[in-house]
Amino acid sequence: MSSYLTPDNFERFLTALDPDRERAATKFEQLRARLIRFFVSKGFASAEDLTDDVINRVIQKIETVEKLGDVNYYSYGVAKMVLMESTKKQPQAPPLRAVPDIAERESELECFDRCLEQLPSDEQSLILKYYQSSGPGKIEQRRRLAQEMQLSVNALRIRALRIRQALEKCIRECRKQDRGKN
Amino acid sequence: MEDFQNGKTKIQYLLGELSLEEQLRIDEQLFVNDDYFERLMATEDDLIEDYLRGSLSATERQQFERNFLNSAELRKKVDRTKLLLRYIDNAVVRPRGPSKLEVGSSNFLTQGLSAYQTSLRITALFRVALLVTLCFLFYFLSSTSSAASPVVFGLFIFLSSVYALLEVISVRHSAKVAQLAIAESQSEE
Repeated sequence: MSSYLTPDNFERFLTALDPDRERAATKFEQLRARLIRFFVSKGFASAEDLTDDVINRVIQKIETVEKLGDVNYYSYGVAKMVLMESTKKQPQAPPLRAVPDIAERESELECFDRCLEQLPSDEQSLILKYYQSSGPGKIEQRRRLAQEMQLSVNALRIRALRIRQALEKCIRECRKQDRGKN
Repeated sequence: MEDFQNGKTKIQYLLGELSLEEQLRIDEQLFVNDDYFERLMATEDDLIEDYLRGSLSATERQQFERNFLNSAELRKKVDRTKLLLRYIDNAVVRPRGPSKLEVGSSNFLTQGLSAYQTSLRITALFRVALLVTLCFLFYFLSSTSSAASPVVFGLFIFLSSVYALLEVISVRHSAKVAQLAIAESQSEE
């Protein structure tokens, strides 16, 4: 079974996602995110393992996927199959794990600083104002912010999400560079 | 605009609260509809933020921990959001307006300029007063002695006036330069 998981097949899988390499990488990340949410929403502890299982199975069927032309939809079908198999095998409601403490992550805060500085000033201002609003007045504050920016509340949320994604990508790269230096 | 009920359904989906039928409907949207996926991600961000800010009910909190914290990827996301909120809570005011320290230094510079201008004026006044005293002394001497001629006295008065004028110009110029330097340093802040 693992003989199907060749670099060539993976390459074909990426091309099936998008012929452009960079866009294919983004779509691959999005597919993983979709699959993880699919399993998490069903209460599975090993969502990442199940996700990898789905992707492996899809790559094994790369010729069918290429003919079908819709990787996401095909992956959804495989995910449902894996879900049925896994429901029989593993129990749900796993133990709780606490969020790790971040007291020792000052260097990551420095990366935040650097990456925030790199954002255009309007995006910098938006993300700060967006997350500044908290507590019971959060919805009203965000509604006002959306009005101020002449956006709908949902458009504002999507904009904040995209800025945050860019910020996180920058932080990941910054951390990688920092680790490279040490 | 996305209605409240729709947003609530997404939260229930992420927390695993929906019936199988409702789950299947959202599952399909999740895979085939890019906009829906993006909106679900935005809802997830809000949910994580509410969890970290302690805004979820006890049941929601329990379900969140059961689902989200057992996924390595989502745990990382929760962790990054925690860091982002911590960063923003600490830094959000900093770039928007001057800090107490900056206000303090700005006041210090303004007060310093005022003191500098006053000291320049007092020094200049003192020098001009000294010059006037010398003029009177010279006049007194020239009126009691025939040694000092009226031409020399006139020349002395002329030079003294030029000196006084230059002193006034110099004081004004120094004060202006200091004022500009302070204005520039305040705009950089």
